[in-house]
Amino acid sequence: MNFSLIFDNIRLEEKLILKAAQDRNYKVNMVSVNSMNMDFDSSLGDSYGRITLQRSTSYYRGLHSTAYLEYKGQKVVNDLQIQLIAGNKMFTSLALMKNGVPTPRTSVSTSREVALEQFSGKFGESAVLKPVTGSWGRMLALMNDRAAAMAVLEDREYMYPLYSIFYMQEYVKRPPRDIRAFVVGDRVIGGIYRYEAPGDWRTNTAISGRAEKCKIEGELEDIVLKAAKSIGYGIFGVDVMESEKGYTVHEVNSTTEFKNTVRVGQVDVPGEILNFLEEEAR
Amino acid sequence: MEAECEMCGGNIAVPEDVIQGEILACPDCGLDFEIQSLTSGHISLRPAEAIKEDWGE
Repeated sequence: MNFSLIFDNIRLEEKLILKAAQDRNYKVNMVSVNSMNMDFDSSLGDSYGRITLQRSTSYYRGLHSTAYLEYKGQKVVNDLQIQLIAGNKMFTSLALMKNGVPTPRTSVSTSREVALEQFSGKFGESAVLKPVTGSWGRMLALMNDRAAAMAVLEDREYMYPLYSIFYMQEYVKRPPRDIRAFVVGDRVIGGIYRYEAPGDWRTNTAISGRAEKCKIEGELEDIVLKAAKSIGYGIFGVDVMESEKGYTVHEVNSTTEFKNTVRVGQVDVPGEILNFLEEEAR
Repeated sequence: MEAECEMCGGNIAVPEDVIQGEILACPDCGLDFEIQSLTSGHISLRPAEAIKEDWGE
């Protein structure tokens, strides 16, 4: 099979996919997104092969290069619609709720005044403020009183306008961990627990949260698959918390990192991704 | 293979299987470099990008 891999940074994930593809004698066209000349008036040519795997670390680079490739007739995994929804926490929450997936109570506003009303009224003066785009736990703010909320919201108003889309969520009481489940197509291929980083309330392994193997089965598996399906058909990292009321899905990631799923989950994620590309390229 | 750090002149070891886009750190000053190009054994480095707001999953 011939396929293209779009990247901006080469992480361990991209090296593992490349190695697995070379072991299968696949021809991989490695495309640095920063070297792409997205000339609307040029044809794409044949070098991209039958399908393209989008692996840009940057959400916006991934989104725009995928749009270009799709409009030029190339099939991209994950597709533009999935990237658009999964890359925005508000869009994701709406898709999850619409499809009946349990997810934390959420409100959005575009003004400090309404955000404070929501904070005090709906959330009882304890909530998490998240940027609608972004990841690795950056700029998540756990606000435990009104003065803290006022300060954080005011700071955000002086930042880039996207940070004034105030996406607020209940702070879910849970064990000091969450679950990352890896979905390829219509299957869950593995999962890990992600434990809080020392001295932190966040579980992102990008900020040193610890990972352990987690078996995804039964009700948890059903919820994970339903969450992925509500965004589209592709490759996902679904994040789940174990709340006092049961499982609740707080994120569905598109260009998913998987080094810890490979390391502690002992799952052949690169091989599963290549199998999926094969199926989708048919 | 080795490359020279443009910041401190340190020697940066370059693995044989390195690929374009990979990040290498200077062992002396710690600055990160990205492999900009690899052509017939010649390596071109540039300072790696700092993490941006939209990076991640």
